[in-house]
Amino acid sequence: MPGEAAASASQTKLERELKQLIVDALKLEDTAPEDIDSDEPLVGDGLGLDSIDILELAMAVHRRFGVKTGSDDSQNREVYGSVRSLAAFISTHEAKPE
Amino acid sequence: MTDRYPAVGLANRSLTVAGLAPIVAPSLARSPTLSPILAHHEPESLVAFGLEARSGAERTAERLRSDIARVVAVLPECAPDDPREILCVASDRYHFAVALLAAWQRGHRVALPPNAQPELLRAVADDRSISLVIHDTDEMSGLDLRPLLAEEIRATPAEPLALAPLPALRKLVTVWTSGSTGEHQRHSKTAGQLFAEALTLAEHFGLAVGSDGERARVVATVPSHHIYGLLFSVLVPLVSGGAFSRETPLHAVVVRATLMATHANVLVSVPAHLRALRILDPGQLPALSRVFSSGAPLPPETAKMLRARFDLAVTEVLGSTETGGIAWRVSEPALTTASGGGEVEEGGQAVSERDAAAHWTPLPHVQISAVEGRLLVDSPFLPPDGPRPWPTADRIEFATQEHTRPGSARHQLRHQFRHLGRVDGVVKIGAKRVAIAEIERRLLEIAGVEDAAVAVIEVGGARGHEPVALVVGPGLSPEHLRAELRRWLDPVVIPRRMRLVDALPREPNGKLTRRAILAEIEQPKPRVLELDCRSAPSAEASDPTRAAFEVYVPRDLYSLRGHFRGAPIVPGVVQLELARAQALARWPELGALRWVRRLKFLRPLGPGEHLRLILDRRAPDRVEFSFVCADERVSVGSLSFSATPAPQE
Repeated sequence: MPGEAAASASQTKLERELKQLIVDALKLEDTAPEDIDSDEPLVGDGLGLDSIDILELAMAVHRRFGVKTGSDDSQNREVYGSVRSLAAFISTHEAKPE
Repeated sequence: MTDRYPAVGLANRSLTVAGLAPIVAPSLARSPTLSPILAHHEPESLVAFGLEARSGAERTAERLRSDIARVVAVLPECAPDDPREILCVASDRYHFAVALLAAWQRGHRVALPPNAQPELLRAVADDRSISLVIHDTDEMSGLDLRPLLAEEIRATPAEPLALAPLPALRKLVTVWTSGSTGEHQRHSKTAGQLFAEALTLAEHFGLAVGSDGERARVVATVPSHHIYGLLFSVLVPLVSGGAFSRETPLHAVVVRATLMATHANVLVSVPAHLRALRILDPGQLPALSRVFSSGAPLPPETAKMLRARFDLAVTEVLGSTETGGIAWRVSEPALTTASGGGEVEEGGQAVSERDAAAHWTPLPHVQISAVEGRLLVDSPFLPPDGPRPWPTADRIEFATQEHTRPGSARHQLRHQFRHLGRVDGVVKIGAKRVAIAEIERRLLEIAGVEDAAVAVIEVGGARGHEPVALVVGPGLSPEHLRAELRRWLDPVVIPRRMRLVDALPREPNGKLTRRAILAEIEQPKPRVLELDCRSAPSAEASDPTRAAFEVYVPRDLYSLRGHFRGAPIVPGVVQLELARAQALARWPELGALRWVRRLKFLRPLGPGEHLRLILDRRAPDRVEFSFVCADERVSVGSLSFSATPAPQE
């Protein structure tokens, strides 16, 4: 369906934007945005971010998209699990005002 | 100077923790035979609470006593000569408290690991010095608290336990810290040290149950296996009639939700976590009677943000694992004169606080001095068998004005001071203490690493400092090195800036200066896009149909990244492109590439390799190429060209 294709294209665009945001906000100079796989874990073995990075990223996401993380840390761990899950979270929350 | 303190009272062999309060915190003194733990709790008083969503998360003092009894019933008594310890790994602060108190009741000492990285926890658990692991997670084996404390087990009630007053000289915990040598140093704390400090903090910061019956309800963003978290989020509530949150929230919205849902009035945190609260809207945090920060200086910007958005002042505490708490200060005390979270201490201290915003004031019972700018501490929180005064690794400068409190014999000179940093090779990164030598040692242990050097640089943001590394490790990638380090080190201290180099910039005598390391690191990172290729002097040079080149794969070749994080290789397309470009440079009349045939990549090509590229023009429009490394063919192929200049795109 065209709607689905459009949604998927905007999701991909958002993922690209997030990768750039991650590299900029966290000053990951060894990493280029295109190096980040949308599905790889952000924390630990994938990109190797730590809890302070995640807090910095949450601040950057809030600045850029006006979206805050949820009020449940186990859900937040999933949201900040990968670029894909973060993009999905942002796209469902961005439109709605809090 | 009063010599009632420090050493005299605590050196007494027969002293138990029950005798501490009259000495260090008279307002908290109860019966001289009663343990200070739970001394200010009624049986139905809360000791632990959780988020609303977790129904039934609340635990009373009586429930805690019976849960301790349950664990005590299955724990063996510690033999008097057994030097081993129990490792407690619990993500739920209530479970942690149960494990700790049960282990102490049975005569055990408890090991507190330096971080919660799985590999390190397993290595600690396997250490011969550990007799048992008490935990609440699927990742560890040992005594799992979850089934033991589950609701259904409670059909058989356990008699609430009367806690034994622990001898002041008994060692209760061993904290593993990063030492300047790089080895984890084990540092024991006695019952006297821990409880003297917990009682002092509770009294000094007004956390004890008040005349209005209000009790401290503590939410901490820091884990309880660090000494700061242990004292402020577990022991202080336990000795002062307070309660703590079972969860350890991290994200701003979760911190807020936890504070709101649990009606907490005290937040125990660190600068990096406090800084992240800025994403909350103004006024979104409840009024709190105390916000504590420790581990690193609170950036003025964060202090301002907390004041402006949430009307919160932050009480910073300076201390170390070895010395316990040393001094405190309140961020930005003078902006509001009226009450509202800004009041710091009863007793007319407001004036001296106002002009001493950046200065530290020693905690009660702490005496400080300095030798050549190095801070010396004497206090009841020091190890009973250590040097007095204790030389710290901190550099300080006394404030020009010393605040004396004449007319009050019990108060000594109040030395206010400025903290200037540390004197050794240990730095604080995101409030975690880390030894440079330890990062280097872990790097050198990685297979393939020949040499490594680490330095620390100042950076903005929540981190304050970050380590950078130079590594000689042919064929290794920064991603691989970081993944290896993550098995051992806290993620916060793993170098994110890492350069793979052919050799460290050592001086002729072998020494490596910080300046040389930084010079190498600070060099603008070249984004090396091409293989290094130059014409090879050879017999073939005179042959018009042949060309040979010497090729080197730079270690920071951009295309090395991305494909396989752990094993960088030169993509085939990069080899192909080099062959095409060199063929065209040598024979410009070849024109555009039309197709490639018989392309074979015979083995992976890695960083740091030296090889030869040989071009052989077999026909006017055809060039065969081969990359050869010590007579071994790496890749071969046949390139067909249009043999006319390609149209420009």
